[in-house]
Amino acid sequence: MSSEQAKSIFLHAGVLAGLFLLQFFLPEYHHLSVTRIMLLAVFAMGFNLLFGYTGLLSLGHAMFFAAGMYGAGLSAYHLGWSVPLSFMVGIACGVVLSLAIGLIALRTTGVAFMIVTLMFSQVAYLTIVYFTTYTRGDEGLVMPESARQFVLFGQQLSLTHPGTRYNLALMLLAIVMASVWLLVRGDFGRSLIAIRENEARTKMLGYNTFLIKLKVLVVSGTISASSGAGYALMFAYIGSSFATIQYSIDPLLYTLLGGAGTVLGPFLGTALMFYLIDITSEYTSAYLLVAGIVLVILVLFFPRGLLGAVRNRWFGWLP
Amino acid sequence: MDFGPFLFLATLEGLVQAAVLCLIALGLSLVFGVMRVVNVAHGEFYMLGAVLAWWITGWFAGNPAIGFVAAIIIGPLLVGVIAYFVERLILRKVEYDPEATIVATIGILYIVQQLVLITFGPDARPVDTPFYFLIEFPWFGYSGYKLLVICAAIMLLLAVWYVITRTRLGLVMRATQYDRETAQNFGIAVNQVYAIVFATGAGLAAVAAVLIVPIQQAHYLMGRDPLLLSFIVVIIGGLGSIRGTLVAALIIGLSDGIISVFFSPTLAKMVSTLLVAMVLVFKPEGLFGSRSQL
Amino acid sequence: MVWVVAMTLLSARRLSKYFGGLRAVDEVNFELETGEIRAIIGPNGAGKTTFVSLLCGRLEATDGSIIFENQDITGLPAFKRARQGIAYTFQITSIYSKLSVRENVAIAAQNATDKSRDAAYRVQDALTRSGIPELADEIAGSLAYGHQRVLEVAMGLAMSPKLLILDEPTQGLSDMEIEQFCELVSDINNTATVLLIEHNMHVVMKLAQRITVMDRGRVLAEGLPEEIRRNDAVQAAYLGS
Ligand SMILES: Nc1ncnc2c1ncn2[C@@H]1O[C@H](COP(=O)(O)OP(=O)(O)OP(=O)(O)O)[C@@H](O)[C@H]1O
Ligand SMILES: [Mg+2]
Repeated sequence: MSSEQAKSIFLHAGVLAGLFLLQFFLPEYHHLSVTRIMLLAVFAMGFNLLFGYTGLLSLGHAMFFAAGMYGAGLSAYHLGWSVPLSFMVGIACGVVLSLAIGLIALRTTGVAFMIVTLMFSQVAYLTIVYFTTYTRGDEGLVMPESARQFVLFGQQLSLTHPGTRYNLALMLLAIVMASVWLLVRGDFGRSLIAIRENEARTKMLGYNTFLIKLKVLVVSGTISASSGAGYALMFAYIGSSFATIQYSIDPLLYTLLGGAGTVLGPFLGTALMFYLIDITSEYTSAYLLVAGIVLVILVLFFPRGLLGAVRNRWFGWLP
Repeated sequence: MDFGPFLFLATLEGLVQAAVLCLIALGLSLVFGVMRVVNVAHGEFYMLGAVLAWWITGWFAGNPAIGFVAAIIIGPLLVGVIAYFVERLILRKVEYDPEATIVATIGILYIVQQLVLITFGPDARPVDTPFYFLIEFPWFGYSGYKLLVICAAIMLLLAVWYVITRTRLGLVMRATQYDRETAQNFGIAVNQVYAIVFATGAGLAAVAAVLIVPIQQAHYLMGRDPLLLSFIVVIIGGLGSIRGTLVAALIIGLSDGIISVFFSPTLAKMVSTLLVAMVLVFKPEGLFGSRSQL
Repeated sequence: MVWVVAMTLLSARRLSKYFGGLRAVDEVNFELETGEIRAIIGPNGAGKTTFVSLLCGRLEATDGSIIFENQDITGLPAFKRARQGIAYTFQITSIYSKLSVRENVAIAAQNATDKSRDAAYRVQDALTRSGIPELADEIAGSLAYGHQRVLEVAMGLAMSPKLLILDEPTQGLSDMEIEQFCELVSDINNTATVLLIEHNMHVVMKLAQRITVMDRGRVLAEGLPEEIRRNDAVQAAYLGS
């Protein structure tokens, strides 16, 4: 194992260990905030795989988040399925939707890809609103009591317990972080970056770029769906607002802030942006103003985001 | 009401929609055609036009027509000036890179929308119709103002068409669109052209908004639907093709008006958005445009 | 008398490419033998780039067929042809300019036809053979133009191709760089067939075993360098253009 690899493993494991220890010190309010941040960071990591590594900017990732959320939430609410099973349904919905969207949207590139994903996501949102009998549209559904308790590996767990939620979110984050880390460092990661940097050349070097993009879109969509499914079950609520354009922009914002094309960037960006908005929303209802200003500043002055800048200047090994 | 008159009413409503949509989409299309960038904040310039119209008409007591005339002159001008500075200070700095521009204009979208929320508040604001005049058809009376909207839109479109095809500014614009480098070599100040086009695009959206506020109300979230609709129009019409944009706006504005009278608007939007996405995937040159430009 | 049985590596039958009304490649018949270095020459706009683009799959043929190692590859997408051993270097330098030289070559080596050695070895080998091992950690976009051209070839080499197509590789190189380049191509020829589009007649005469002359989408002449040099039609095409 090279020393760079060791350093990198150490750093990522350290972040996860830090998050584990953090739960014993956090006051209640921040305990809940960090749980949300971890789940949203999973969403952003999925997005970043597509945007940061492959160079495909989707403006419709909310549909994958929503697929997970509604897949899990509806099966728990209407069918009374257990939490683990509902979670799996959420993920399966993510796989199916991202595969379908990928097969169609990946025929386009550049600006057309952004607009097409934006429109598909809008269709997904309208679908949720249209089937309001089952989804209760904007008003949403609150998960029943039966979806708050479950048994995992012989353990009786309750989702009303903050510690359980925190550690489940951390577990999901750890799994996704490890998967992304492994994925982007191997041959597959190299082919993603090759596509990002010069797709025409990459084709001529023997890569089936369409298939690679399809694969990464499915992985990306599925990770985002796992975040949505987790969110639905842990916070016991699903609503169409999670499928709006706003939720497609958020992972972009988090990723750009933390640093596109870095494993930790989306997590860092999510944490910073979450607290930034949290603090401003105490003072004004126009907290989205902050999001707008941050986006413009990032595009103008820090196109590589925080970790990107750090990597460029000091730590070339950061994956 | 019988089916015939009902359809006639729906068509009139559709025409008003189409007229306004033509103006908004034309603004978006001009910007995309000449500058090759997608302005996601376009809907907010529209919203800004509407809110400014409410604000400006508030200055004038008495005859609502005076306030309206002031609004339709000052509102779009102000919006144009704001857009001009956005172009100078932001788009130019990212060198019109397509992706960076989209991200930047998303940021601008939030900034404009939230500043309006802070300044003017979250309430929907009505604007008085400049005049009351009912046109009596045998079956129903119809607002004369709505017909004025249609006429005004047609006149504006003719004016834009005249500028593009018959004036030096239009020639310069077309040259820039055709080949940026060559235009620059021929001494055209491409940067200046871009700024003017961007401001004009925003101004057109604002004019549309001022025309529509006496019918709808001004609200800080009103920019989203027109943005999506004008995206749809520009895609169906063929990106950057102005004639295609107008044809598409007419068809979509009309059918949107007509369809939403008969069907659930959600279903109509769902199906049309899906179809449009498919057009962009499988026929990127649009249904009425001539060449592929993305 | 010794009979050398020549093996055909690639052949094209009535291969055509039309851009609207323009016949950029017009019913070209072409044979390439295993192990040779073939040059394609011809005036600007003759259709050389278009022709080799059809061979490597960058463009789709309007008509005709391509056989590579006794298999019809006409309908195969570019990436499959690359995996079967057809490597192509672009006329306009096309590298991963933000990545290091080593990464550039590693991306190319990942899909090599011959995987008997491990990837790291193949990368190093390609760098060494191309004479740029000391540049491995430089960012490709910051290299001098000549080195970028060599990197293009190194990437082709890393694919361990059976056929390497080079599109005007010496354009813009200095005389000394051209000499080194000729040595590199000779070396590559030990393991691969080379198809070379070239304007520099000195390079063509030095390297090519056979020459194909194209003009207005058609093959004007084909033969040994000596024959081509003396061919009147070729002279006319060049002087006439
Ligand atoms: N994508 C394209 N669309 C339309 N016409 C094209 C296209 N590519 C090439 N052509 C035309 O086809 C003809 C052949 O071009 P090609 O690039 O193959 O010539 P070439 O022999 O490689 O020339 P050069 O020596 O300048 O590289 C030219 O007339 C060119 O303008
Ligand atoms: Mg050429």
